[in-house]
Amino acid sequence: MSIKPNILNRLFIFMPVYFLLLTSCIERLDFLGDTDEGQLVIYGLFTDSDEKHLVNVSRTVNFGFAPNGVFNAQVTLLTKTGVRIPYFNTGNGNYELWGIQAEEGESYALEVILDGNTYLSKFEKVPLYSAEDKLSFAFSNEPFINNSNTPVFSVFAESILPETLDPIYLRWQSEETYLWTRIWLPCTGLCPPPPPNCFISDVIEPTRINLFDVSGTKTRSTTFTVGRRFIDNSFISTFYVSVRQLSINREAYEYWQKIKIVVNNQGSLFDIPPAPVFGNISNIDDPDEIILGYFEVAKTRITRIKTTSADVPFFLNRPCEFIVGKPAADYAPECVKCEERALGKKWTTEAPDWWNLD
Amino acid sequence: MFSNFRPGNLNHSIPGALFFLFFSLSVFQIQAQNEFTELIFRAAPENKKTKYILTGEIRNENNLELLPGVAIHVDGFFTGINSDKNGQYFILLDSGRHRIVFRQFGKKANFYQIDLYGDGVLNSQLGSLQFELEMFTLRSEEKERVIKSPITGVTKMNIDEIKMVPALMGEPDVFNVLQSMPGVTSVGEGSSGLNIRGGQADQNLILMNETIVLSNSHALGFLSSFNGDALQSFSLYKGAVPSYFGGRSSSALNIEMRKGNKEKWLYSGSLGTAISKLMVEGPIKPEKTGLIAAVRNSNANWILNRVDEIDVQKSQIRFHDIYLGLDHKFSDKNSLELNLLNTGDYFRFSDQFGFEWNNLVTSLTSRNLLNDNLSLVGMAAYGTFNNGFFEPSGTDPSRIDNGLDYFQGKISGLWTMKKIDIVFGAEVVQYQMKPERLSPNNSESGIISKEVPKQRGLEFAPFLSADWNPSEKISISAGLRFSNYHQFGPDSIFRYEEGLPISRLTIKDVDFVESGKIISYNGFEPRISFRWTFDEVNTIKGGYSVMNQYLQTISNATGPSPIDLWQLSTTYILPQRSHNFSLGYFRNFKENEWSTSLDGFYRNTANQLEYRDFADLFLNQHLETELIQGEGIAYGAEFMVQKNMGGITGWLAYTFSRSLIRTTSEFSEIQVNRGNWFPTNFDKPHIISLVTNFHLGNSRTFNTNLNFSIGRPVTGLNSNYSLGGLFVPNFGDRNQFRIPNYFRIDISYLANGFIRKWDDKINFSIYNLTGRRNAYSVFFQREGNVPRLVPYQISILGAAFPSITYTVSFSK
Repeated sequence: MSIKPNILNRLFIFMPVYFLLLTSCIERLDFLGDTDEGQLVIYGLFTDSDEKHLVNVSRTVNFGFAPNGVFNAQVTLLTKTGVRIPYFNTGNGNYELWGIQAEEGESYALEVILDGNTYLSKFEKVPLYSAEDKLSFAFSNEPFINNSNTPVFSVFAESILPETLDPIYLRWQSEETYLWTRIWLPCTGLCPPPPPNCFISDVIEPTRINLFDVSGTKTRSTTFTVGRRFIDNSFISTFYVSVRQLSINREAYEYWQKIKIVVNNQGSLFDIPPAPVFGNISNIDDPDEIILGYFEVAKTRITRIKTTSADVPFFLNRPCEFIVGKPAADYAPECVKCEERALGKKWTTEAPDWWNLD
Repeated sequence: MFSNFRPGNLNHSIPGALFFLFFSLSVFQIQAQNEFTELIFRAAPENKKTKYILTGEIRNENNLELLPGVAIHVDGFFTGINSDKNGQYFILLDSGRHRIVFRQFGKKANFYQIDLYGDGVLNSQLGSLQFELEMFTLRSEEKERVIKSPITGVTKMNIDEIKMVPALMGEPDVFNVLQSMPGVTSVGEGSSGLNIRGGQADQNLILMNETIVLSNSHALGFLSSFNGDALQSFSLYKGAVPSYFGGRSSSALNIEMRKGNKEKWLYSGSLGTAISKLMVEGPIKPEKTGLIAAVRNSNANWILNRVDEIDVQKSQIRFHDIYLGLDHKFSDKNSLELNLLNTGDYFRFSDQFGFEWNNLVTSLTSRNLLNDNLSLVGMAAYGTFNNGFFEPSGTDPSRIDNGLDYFQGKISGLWTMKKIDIVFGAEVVQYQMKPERLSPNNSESGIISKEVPKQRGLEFAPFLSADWNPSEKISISAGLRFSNYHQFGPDSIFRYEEGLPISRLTIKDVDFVESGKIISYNGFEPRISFRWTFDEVNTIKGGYSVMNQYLQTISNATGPSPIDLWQLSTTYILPQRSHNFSLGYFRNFKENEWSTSLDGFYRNTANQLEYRDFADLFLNQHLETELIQGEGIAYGAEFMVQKNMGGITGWLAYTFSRSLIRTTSEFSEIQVNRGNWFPTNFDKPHIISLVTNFHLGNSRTFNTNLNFSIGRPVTGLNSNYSLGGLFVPNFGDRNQFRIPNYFRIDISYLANGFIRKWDDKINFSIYNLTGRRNAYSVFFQREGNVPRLVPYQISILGAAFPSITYTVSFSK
């Protein structure tokens, strides 16, 4: 028995190729396309908490860029009893309402009057129940975004749901807020006071939509990842994560399920084919006009957790530490101005009410 | 947007010049020397006539099985007559000397010189083709059959030819070969099922030895369930489907499995990079009872473990199939066959989700020759398959199971006369859908078990078919099938508000029917096709058929998947009914060395299924609220050039095909794309495939397979918007854009005699040689912090996929 030499030679030629392995891959397509512009988007959330309630009115723009805010709308909250409460226009398409909060079991709707058209949402009922959340966090070195290990901060929640036969539909949002200390150069004589700290906020992992409903399960406790983010020098001072639990009604839950499908569509074999998601707002003068967005009401509960650099097991770069002899102009702009650090995120120099209360 | 995806942009130039270069080479031509067996048939002096009957039967030399479809050539010309289903033939010839040749694709031809001066009986046995010599004329009979067969749109191949088309994992595969033929395509790699002439995957009737096989693919559709070791041949009817096949509205694919050798025991084993196989066949009782058993098992997990992605490393894929065939010959006229196919698949993606499905099909077939003109075939079959979808982790790990049991019975008779063959019989299939069950996947899961009962139905269809050959130039095949369907209780019939669309919000009542008939449908299904051969090389064929379909798959995934739920017609899910037209022109050149065809088709299907947006199909007792039915049309033309002989053989196929659908609800709110026509998921207007086989001599072949098609339709982005910081894509009308075009080259090298003195073979193959990242679909995602969504494409196979399979055979 002997292997024929010519075949054997060919086998060796094949061997390097042989170890090319099966892998699927994802690539960005190198084209930019037109998209429809001018579609109206209305999104509002009205909760039982004593906070600002926000409605955003915008229109889509071409080439898929972020929608433009609509400035000239009249936005009104409606109750079933006929009470009309106007929102205040705060610019950039945002309309705010404060000093009022939703009541459990009551129904509310939203009216937006714009360019002679009246847009009206369905009446949405505030649910009666919510869950109790307990947060925890972890710092780890693991794959995130791509396959190579990287320092990652993860926040987890354990939710305990009330024992009730009534359906409960929950959604969670998470937001980070961290303190950023600006550089203050020591001086002699009449020196300016140290600049106030920056408090910078942003949504954590916006595409992660956490939803849970109790229909079809006996489970009254659920544990899940609230969100993950890279570890960077945002952690060199105090870092808060605020998790807002929204107890919503079934229609809103189904709406967010569809949003989750279209947002998380990865084009895989098992993906549900994408489709337009229609909300609960319509033009009463032109029912054929498609209005994007949703007006939802919720019973809400906010839970927070804090971490500091002492918890972080990784090296953190501290670009704004005072170095003797270093000229002021040599410090990075983010060490001087909050907006340079925030890069488009929300920021303020006033500590939130809840900051360091615990 | 996506303007560069639209059909018509045939940007990828196809190396047509390469094709003609391949085909213009005619190296390694070998002219086989044929020996004629001389025979004399004499009649008594008082019975002298000018014409005499020559008849007989033709058997397989290996197992003495009767061989249908053997072409009979007289004096160098094909007569248009083939041996019938019982392997018998009947021909009227002038008295005198004739040269008779029996030919069949994949078999060694037998040559006779007869002096016919009286009626004669000439029996013959055809041996298998010897690999080294006859490889060069493999396709000659096939091409003649294309010209002479009365039925339009038929593709037939045997395993020798299937093996010469390079395939994934080096595994000879029916579905892979079919996709290189004109008019056959699929949604994409990793999508199970075939789309034939613009039809949906579930509109194809797939049979194994005429037994229905509903679950027929492995590895999420990369491979069919039919092991090449046990496979004999296949016949695809994509034009006019004969009346003895029915139940689907597009096509019929019958896969013939081999019978066990009745003379000696043969063993073979294969070890490959992704698949291992074992096969044994031989006589349990010499010349009476033959057995064949073939087992195939995957060993692909080591490949996943080497992929540089954690989720893939944590994934698992495995599958197996077992085929068992047992046949016993009681006499030359009576035989009994038992066939069994068992398949199983398991696929888990990381700890996120998984699927498993298994399938069992078994049948018992009796073949009885009642007299020289009449034979009966009776078949009883049982099939069952189970699908499971599971989530192994998370708050509440769960699994959903469903499945289907079915019993199939069929009896058919063949009555052969001088110029007419008549097939008659009846077929009955009883379907019992298994309840859909939700259950916890582990003991800690809080999932409350739930069960949704499913339907039971019975399909019954008598059929009649006649093949008439009034002359050598004309043949006509006509048939009629009368299909009846009944849905039986128990089932819950939901009642909906009048004047409103069917939806879960408009349910007003529910009737529970414990037993008895709930709804019935029926319809005549005429089938007719003709051939007109106006000289030896030019033929026109046409056909028309009507087909009803009472069983369809339900799935809301991007493409068909192996775990799709089969759903019977109900009060609200109406049966599909298609009208199929086909017309083609066929011509051979250079004494059948080249054959060409141009075949046009048109199909109109009523009640074709489509899904409402975000259809919720799991555990849904009223599926009709998630579906919408409409009208489907498919039309196109298929062009094919084949080279049948010489050192290089192969074919070039081009298909122009459109597949469109429009929903026809009276309620605008549930119409898809406002009731306008739109392309189906598998609408690919231009498809080109080129298969070339280089016969290198000394039992070696080098094979290539080139595929190109226009990208399939997808739903694209209309705009995007923000919901409280979350960027959301707003999708437009369904299937209005296209993914990038598809292009792939596969190669394989087959060699026998790898180790001296062993009967062995080795198969090197590379699937997707160029490593092209063909898009399966497109999705939209935010890129970094830029406030816009950009398109990404996902490729199922993003690299070249090489494989080696070594097979060794023994006999005793």
